[in-house]
Amino acid sequence: MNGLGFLLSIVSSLLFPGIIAVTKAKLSGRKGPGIFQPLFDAARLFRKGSIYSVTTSIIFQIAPVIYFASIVVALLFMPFGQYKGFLSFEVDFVFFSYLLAVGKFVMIIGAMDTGSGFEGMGANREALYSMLVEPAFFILMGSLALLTNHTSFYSLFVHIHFDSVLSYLIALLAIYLFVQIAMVENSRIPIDDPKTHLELTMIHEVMVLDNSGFDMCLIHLATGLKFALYGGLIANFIFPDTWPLYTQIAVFLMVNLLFVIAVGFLEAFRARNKLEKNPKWILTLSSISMVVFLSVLVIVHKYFLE
Amino acid sequence: MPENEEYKEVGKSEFRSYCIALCLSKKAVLRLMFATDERETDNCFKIYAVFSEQGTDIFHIPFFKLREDDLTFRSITDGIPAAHWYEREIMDMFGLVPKYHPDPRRLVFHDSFPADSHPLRKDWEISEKDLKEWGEGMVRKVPYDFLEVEGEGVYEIPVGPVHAGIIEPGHFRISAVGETILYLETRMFYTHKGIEKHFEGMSFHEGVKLAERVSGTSTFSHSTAYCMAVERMAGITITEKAKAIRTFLLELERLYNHIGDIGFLCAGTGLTVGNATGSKIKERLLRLNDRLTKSRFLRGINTIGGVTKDIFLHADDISLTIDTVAKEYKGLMKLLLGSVSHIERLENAGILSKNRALKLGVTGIAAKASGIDDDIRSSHPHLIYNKIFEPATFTRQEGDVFARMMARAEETKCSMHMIKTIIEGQHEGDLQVKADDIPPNSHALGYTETPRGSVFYWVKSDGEGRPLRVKLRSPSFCNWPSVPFAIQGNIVPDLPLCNKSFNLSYSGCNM
Repeated sequence: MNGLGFLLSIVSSLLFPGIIAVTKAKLSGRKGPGIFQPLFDAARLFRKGSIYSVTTSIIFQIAPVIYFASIVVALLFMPFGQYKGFLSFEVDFVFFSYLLAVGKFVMIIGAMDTGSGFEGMGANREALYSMLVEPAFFILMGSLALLTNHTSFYSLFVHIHFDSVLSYLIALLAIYLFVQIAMVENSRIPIDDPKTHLELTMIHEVMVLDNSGFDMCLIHLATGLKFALYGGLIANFIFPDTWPLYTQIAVFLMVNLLFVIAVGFLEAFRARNKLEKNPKWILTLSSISMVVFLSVLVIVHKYFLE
Repeated sequence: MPENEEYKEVGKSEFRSYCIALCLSKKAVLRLMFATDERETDNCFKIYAVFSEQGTDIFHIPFFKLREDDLTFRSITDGIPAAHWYEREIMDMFGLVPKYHPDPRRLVFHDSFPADSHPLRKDWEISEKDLKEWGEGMVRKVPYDFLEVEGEGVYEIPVGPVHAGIIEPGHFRISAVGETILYLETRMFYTHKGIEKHFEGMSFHEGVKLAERVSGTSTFSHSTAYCMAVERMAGITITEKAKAIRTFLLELERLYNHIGDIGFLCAGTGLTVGNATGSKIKERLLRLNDRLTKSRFLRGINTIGGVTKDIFLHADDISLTIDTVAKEYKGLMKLLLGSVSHIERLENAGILSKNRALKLGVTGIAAKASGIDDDIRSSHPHLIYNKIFEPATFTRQEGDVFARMMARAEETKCSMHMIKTIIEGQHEGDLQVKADDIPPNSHALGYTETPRGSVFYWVKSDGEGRPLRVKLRSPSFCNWPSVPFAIQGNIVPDLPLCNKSFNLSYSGCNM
């Protein structure tokens, strides 16, 4: 049963992009594509061969595969209630985070490999934002580790107990942070706009301009998987491992659904940040993490209220 | 000749000082500058400049003659910067060379166009052989040098001419350091359609259809200005009813453009709901257009001497639709002005200073947003604007993207009000008056306000009453040069947003 988290995440990841698109379409009064449209697109791309520019090297060709693989491996850490993920060890969240970083890194060098001015531009923007969002994630996970005295995803989530007012604050802030970090990591609004057709304003989309066919399919699927990563973490965060299994599965899926619908809402009613404001905005996430950290310190009586 | 046009012949050498004096003493604005080939009748080329005086309904039109022995003239661009594109256009189209022009590169023609070929000359011909060589890019190539910005960390981003959206081509060469734009150079005229030359081969009546097709989003303004020019030339006075219908449709055109543009700005900031709402309202208006005129873009209504359809027969439909639109539009503005993240993007982006806008002769929305009260409907009243148009005092000073959005919003309100007034009023008369006789050897100016700014047509008939020269100037032609100035110092990803806030037409520019 250790793979339950992994399997459920894979299933929900397939539907995520479709649900976001439908939510946005409905909110703006359009009919919109069907929920399965992104899957049809992926299937169509899957059957096609990739086309490579003669100026690119092997790096560009392997980048999407490594990117996809890194996210799938990261998903293996996904616990589910009382069940561990396929992989689980002490401080695995550090490994988890750097797996994602590896994926991002190969995409960045893959984009630069094309030699296109646009892709280089997108790559350096993406590198900056991924770098800036890292402290927020680590301070948050560190605080949770401090709170529970455990350092792997599985034991961390199993041992979280909400029993005081402060811990509710931590829970709320942590969920908020997970959602926003997911937005940054997935290059969504307010950092980036996946819908824009203008190369000059793109961040993530401009990096994959040269990818086609099978490679593009992997990149599309990876988007869903990345959302599923964060959706899964949030769900684990919310339900206790003492609930019956079926309730847990239902809650897991519900939380994931709510998460993507929330993403759809955020995207529909919020404009993008001015690009030069993005770093500040991302650093705000780190400072919210610091609030979590300080609250944890108060709870565990480490330094205050002795 | 219409009474608000004052032609004055000046000597070739005095032209520049005369024009500059006009600008200084009368606060006149250069609206249009063009050449004509009148070698058959007067044995010379003529260059005209149209200035409109602020405050009075008078166009000052100084002109001078250029004999074939010396086809150069003193450029006025150093004194009147607004003339710079006009002079380069004259150079390309007629081979009349402005001396001391600060930027003597070609404007309209691209590298492969033959160097000594000037299409608007009456004796211009292009042979099969020329065409073949031209297609292969062999003949007398004239290279175009983009300005290069040098320095550590400066890099160039070429954008276009083919864009990601379904729009016409235009090339942007951005020199940036980091994300900050140091310099932007635009290159237009990729799809120059030779419309002015086309007009010369048509009759004045056929020309209406061509005028309607200069720019898709302001078809009615273009055809109105064209018809007005021909009617003024022929001394035709159209009926009150025709005037009312034209005014009504001009405002309807403004309405759908402005609401569409306001919504479209949201595509630049990523505000999905705003974008969709704007498109929805625009579609509602386009369908109204379709019901009224059988054309979503108001084609086929204007004709010389009046209009072809009595759209006031649909008065109920119109009021109903406009009421719905007004309600939805109010909701849209509430959403946009309530969205901090959206407004934050618009403010302080793409600032065009008043001084620059004045010097470059910027017109319409862009001028109004920069604090210039430029509206041809109030400064040179035509149709029934003198009765229903309340001279607006709604210019804004900031000159940024937000100011341009608000200038549109204020015009929208004003247009809705006017539409209501026209619908409620009584308009007597036939739809058309007879307009068969076009007098030979006469000329006149036609103008109106498109959603983007003023449009001008100047027509001249030859000895048989056929077009000798039709000069048109769309607002996009005089506003495009101002865009690079507004972009300077902004960041690269804001360029599309700033550009969109001007919302200039490639087609109207590449006429």
